[in-house]
Amino acid sequence: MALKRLKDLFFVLALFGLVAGITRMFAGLGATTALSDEIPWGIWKVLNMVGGVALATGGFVLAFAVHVLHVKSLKPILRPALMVAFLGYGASCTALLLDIGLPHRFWHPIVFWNPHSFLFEVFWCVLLYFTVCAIEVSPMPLEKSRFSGIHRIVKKISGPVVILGITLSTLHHSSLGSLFLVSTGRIHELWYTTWLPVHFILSAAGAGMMAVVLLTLVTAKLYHRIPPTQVLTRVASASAIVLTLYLGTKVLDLMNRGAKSILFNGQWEVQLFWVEIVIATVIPISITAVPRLRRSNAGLATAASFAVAGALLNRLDVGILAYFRSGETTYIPTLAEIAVTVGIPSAAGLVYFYFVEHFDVFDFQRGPAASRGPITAFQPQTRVWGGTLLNDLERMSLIAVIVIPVALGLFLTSARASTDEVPRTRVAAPTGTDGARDVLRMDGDHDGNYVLFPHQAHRDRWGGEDSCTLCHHMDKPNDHQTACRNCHRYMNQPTSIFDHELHQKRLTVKLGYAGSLATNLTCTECHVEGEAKRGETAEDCVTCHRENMRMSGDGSVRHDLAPAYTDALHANCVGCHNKQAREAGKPHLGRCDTCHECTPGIDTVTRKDSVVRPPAGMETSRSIIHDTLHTIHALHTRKAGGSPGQDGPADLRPARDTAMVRRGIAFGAEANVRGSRGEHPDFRKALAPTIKTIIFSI
Amino acid sequence: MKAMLHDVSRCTGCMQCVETCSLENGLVQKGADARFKTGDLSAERFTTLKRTREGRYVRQQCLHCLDPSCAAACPVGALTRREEGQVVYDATRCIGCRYCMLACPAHVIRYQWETPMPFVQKCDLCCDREGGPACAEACPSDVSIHGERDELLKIAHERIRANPEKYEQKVWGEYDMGGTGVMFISDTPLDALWPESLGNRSIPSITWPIANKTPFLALGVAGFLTGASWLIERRNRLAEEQTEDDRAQTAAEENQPWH
Amino acid sequence: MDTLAFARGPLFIATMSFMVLGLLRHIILQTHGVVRTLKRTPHQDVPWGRIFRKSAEWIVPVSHMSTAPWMKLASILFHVGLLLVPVFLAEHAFLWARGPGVNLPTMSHEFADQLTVLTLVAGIFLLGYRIFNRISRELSSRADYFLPMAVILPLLSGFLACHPAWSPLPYQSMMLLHVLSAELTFILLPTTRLVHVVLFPFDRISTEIHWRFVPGAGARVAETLRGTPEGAEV
Repeated sequence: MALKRLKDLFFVLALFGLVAGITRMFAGLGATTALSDEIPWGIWKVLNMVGGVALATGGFVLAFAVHVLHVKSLKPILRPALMVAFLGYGASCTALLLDIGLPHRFWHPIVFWNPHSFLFEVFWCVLLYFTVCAIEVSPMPLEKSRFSGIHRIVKKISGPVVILGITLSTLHHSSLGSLFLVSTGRIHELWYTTWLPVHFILSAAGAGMMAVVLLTLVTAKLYHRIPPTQVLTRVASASAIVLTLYLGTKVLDLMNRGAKSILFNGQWEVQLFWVEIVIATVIPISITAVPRLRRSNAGLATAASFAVAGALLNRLDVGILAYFRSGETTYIPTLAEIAVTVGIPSAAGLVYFYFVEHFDVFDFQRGPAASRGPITAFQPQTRVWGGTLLNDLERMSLIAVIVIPVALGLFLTSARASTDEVPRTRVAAPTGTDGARDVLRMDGDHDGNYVLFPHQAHRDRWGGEDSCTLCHHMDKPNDHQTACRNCHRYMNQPTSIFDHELHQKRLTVKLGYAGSLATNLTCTECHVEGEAKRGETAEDCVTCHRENMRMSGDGSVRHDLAPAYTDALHANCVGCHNKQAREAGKPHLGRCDTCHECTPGIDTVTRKDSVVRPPAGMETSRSIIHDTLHTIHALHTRKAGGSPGQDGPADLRPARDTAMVRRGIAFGAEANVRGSRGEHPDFRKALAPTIKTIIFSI
Repeated sequence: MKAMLHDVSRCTGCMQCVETCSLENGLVQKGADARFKTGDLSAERFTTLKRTREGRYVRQQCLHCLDPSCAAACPVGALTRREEGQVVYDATRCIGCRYCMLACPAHVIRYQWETPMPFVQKCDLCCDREGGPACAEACPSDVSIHGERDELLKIAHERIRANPEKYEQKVWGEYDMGGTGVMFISDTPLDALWPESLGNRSIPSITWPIANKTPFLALGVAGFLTGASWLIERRNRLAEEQTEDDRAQTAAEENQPWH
Repeated sequence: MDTLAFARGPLFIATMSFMVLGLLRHIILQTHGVVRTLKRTPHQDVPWGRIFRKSAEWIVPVSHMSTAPWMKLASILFHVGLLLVPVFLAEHAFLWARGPGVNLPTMSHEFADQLTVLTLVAGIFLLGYRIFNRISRELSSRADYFLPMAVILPLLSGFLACHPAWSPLPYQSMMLLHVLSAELTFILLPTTRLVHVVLFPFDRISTEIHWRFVPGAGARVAETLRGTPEGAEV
């Protein structure tokens, strides 16, 4: 029963991994993983590839013991060890295939060579060793099949193949350590050493043997068989010796490099290093050192679990955690990454169970052959859950039907959100000022800086409540509002929603004038002949666009100009700034560099700038300014529709900075917006001292 | 050998180089204005300006090392150093393992994380552009100059000699990390920008002595294994034959009377 | 707002794929069962013609119109509306195009509105018939009242979301209700007797094959038939 539940669990995890893997294939690495330019290698490479391969070392170590040293007593667990190697490498290769950016080019290292590269060496060794593993494992299914000829051939070549396999293993296990040698100065010095190849091969050999011990014990437990404890004790002892050797080289190396001083300086890396050393070496070695413990199954299992966990932790440290400080960042794997990391070994586990049940992996006796099963009734369509779910097809398909949708919901949407859809504009109500939301705060580029959006003014201009759908398309999913740039288009050019050149081009084609370039012959199609070509002399848009013209709520056709993006945004601030500059006698308030970063010596006209960010800790006061501005603005726009104030646009002009004039920006937009709001002297008078205190104390 | 020299003391931080680079390499971004914002290197930005503590602007870009670590690390040889000195990337070979990003000591290689078919992105010193790098051409303050490395070094040392109290007495990149194609002179120290543990060594000079032992290691291990296997097997066989001989002898002795 | 985004995003994908996979599973399991049973019966010939005819009659009960004709008519209308409106509504065509990338023909808003109202009326009529007709009431289980209501709910909420003027709730809340109720239907489809949307052909097939066991198959037949449906079809 435990076995059945474990298989179900593995199936669930494998399905999660499968869906995550498929999502990665379609959405890309950025959408599914937490990898970044600072931490480009994640758990797929470091845990699945480097770590998985380390745990699969048992195959080569036991092959060495049995085939080279001819230790006959270890033969009973040679086959499980080979299975571990084969499945371990298969799992690692699968993970690697998902991890590399262009999986369809996985074969490139076969054709394009770079012998200097450690990864090139690892690739070749892993590729060849995986083949070797496949050959070494193949007798298990072959001896059960009819292909005795192939079996005989495999048997014949097994000698050289074993030697080749061990050689390759030695090479790539050390190369896996050498991989990280290139990150000089980036890996924390506790782990970075030129001895990394030696450390890696020793720890892999030790942990790999322990992995075989653990697997044998678990398998025996699951299938209710008696494990070959005596043999396992020998393997564990050998592993403990190797781990001691590993610990020794590590200590020697640290002393050699004079790293003694950093071993006790309280950095979190140091604590991690100690934890790793204790888990990976000290605990397994001490347990194995006690005869009573190493002869008991429980003791062996504990030692083996610690050794395996320790080896994985070591790879995680070297490959990811030791990079954190130099990358000045952290890396927390996404759900999809974890799903793949766990899912691939789970799938390998299922394959392992299949091998154990169908072939002679262990000397354990096999259970009785599965019967054909009873005839089951049709599941009547009215009883979906009522079935006994006895047979595997029903149970497995039910698991799949439940797990796959959950996984899809988890991975697919998060992937889609980050690639397909432009993040929604962040909109917030102005805090504490007006409940009617006349003015909204918007953060279109998600940089934390908001601009004001006179919502009520827009609404009024386009015809009240009926005009909502002009910007809010209610029926389209996820279309919450039209972006500012749809109307306020180009940054600096005074623009309109009317694209003159486009109309010219279209008319040229439509009227059959030569070519598709805009020609002046089309002028008189819209403009009155002989008159100045201006908006006033042109036909109404609605003459052509009878169906698709934007209508305001009252049914009248609108075709006025929308101010440029910059102007629309500037208009929110520049007016008050200029006024304050004049009234408070602080002319610098009217200058561009009050808000924009300015580099001395560079002409303002050509510079590329960003709106200056408030210094750290100043955000609060900044938001106070914003809120005050909202209040003013809200009250101004409520008076919208009235005549422009008596001290209208004209009196602001003298205060305008000359640099702005030089930039050639037509501030018509400013006038436009200002024209629609009336002045409210009483209010200004009432609030002016407060504004002054707030603004000028900064 | 083509190279580039940045005189940090002259830079005003106008970002013309960054903008020109984006235009030259067609690095499309979401929203044209994003190009002008300050930011770190990314797959859409091959160069950027870093502001130091002293308030100087230092260009961040591929340093085009004389002994490039990325080229040594790439398993398929997609990153190579040209005869003329530029370290270039061959997108047709790349498999996307991102090992170069681990290997780069200057940490300037970027990856297109957001696409399903991603490639590595970095400055190639406009190697196929007539008239050298676009950024050097665009610089209004002559901060960046492009030319032969020897001549640039001469210029650098001349400037330092002519103005010894202004300049730091060092050309960064002359020897650092085995020498780089992109070099800096400055009126404030730039040491914080270089990986200190490397000094004048290049990363390949550390890894190659280990990598080139691989064939010998392979042959050695294989030879040792074959020898050991053969020896032990022979010993076992001899021992077995001995016992079998003994058994045969006893059997023969036992059988004699019956014969 | 975030609830709506969640309902439209992850939850929608999860429930939609659950429905698709769940229905597929039923088809596969049923086919598997049919093949298995056929292999073990001596009579290999299946009266396909009869099965098709019976199924067609079941779908379009024109020949049985004489008994309870209004109920049959309402049933047809109800099913047609339930199938057409969710698939071919213009707004849903946008979803089809955006998600799987399928471009479907769409129906006009007016027609969709009319059909929706008719379907709603038919649904309510059917529910009323079940409650007030004695025979129907005796044959009904609790699920028989619940399921039609669950199926009508997305239709009703969708109609109100399209016509904010008549809606008692704000647009976003009504939309949330619409999405959630549709997702409930997705989950109910493969897990309740709504599964008949894909399994109705098997209804006839299994009946035909079960009754073709040779006499004397005895115990096996009994065993096979042990799990017959509890409630009869409408």
